[in-house]
Amino acid sequence: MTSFREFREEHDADEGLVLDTVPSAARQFQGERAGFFTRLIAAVIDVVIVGAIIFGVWIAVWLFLLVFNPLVDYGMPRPGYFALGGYFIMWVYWSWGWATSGRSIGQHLMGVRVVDRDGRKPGWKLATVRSLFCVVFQVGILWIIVSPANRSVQDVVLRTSAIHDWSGDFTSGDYSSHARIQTGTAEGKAG
Amino acid sequence: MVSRPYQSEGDVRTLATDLLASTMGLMVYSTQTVWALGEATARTVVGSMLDRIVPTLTEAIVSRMNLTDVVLRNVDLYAVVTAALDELDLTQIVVDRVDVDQIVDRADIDAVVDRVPMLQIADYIIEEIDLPQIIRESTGGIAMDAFTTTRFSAVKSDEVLSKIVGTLMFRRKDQQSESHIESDVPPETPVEAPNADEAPR
Repeated sequence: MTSFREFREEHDADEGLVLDTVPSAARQFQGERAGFFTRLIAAVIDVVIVGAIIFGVWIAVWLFLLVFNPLVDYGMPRPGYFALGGYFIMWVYWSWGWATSGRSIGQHLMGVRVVDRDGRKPGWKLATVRSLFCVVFQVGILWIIVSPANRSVQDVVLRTSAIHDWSGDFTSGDYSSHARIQTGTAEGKAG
Repeated sequence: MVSRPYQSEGDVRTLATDLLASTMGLMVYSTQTVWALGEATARTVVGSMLDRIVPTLTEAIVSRMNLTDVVLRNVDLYAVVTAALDELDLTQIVVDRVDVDQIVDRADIDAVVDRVPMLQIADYIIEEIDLPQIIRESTGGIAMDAFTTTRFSAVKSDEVLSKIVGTLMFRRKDQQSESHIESDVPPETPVEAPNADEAPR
């Protein structure tokens, strides 16, 4: 048990008052770039969610058509349409998630947040571009395995980072205080 | 002086010796008495005179000089006070003679409380009792617990992976991402958390 004096000295040196909701075991990597598996699981969750949305849309359309034309059997559309729709919804979904809260649902569940080079929430432009990049070039995530700074190809190109953030904080857009990404050194290594 | 009854018999010589001796004794006695009497009288007179003169004289002297200044100039006050304090048990004196309750009653407690870092104390208490963990355990539910476990597992897997890759690519130690979850620091595995009462803190 730390005494109040020790606690105060430690936090005075820090940033003063912190009401930390992050589990104590997770605080040591809070704000650092997330690794491959964490982000892969988050991405898989997002893909599953988007898949569910696609199927929901398809069922809704199918029911709609059934009401007006009950006798015509439209059958399953070609898988290409599903894929195309999936890519598009994925793009919109990630853009919306990253621009509004910095995280998609999958990333929220895995405690990951996307930040720009200054550790802030990415703007709409950056979120849209990164999202499109991720949708088009999915294998970019594999670079995380090789990169010592845990950056995907998208991160390297757009200078973004996906950091561990286990707090449920959606309010402020500035995470630079607890984003412990060292932009200068890590970029040099990652390149 | 010892008086003896006069004995007529005896010669003139004896008589003369006796007379001489008694006269001598009387003289010695008288002298002693007068001396003592004089000494006592003188002492009384001088004493009463001094009693009258000394205070007046002292008063006259003291009133003509700045005693404080003299003391300040010539006395090592620090040594005097230190010696006095060494003799005294000041704490005990205060405890015996001072009514602390009354002092506290009169003190402006609000001013004291204003100086106390209340928010930091609250933060400290929250940290010490790990209030977030208590709230998580009481409200989190199974789904959230499962995700916390998944998060920890994923972080662990990430570390293993980065270690393997680091070894394969002959990376130096400082280039590899450092290990976060040590084996002796058990992650807060909420799988065991449902019986929160038994969970070690």
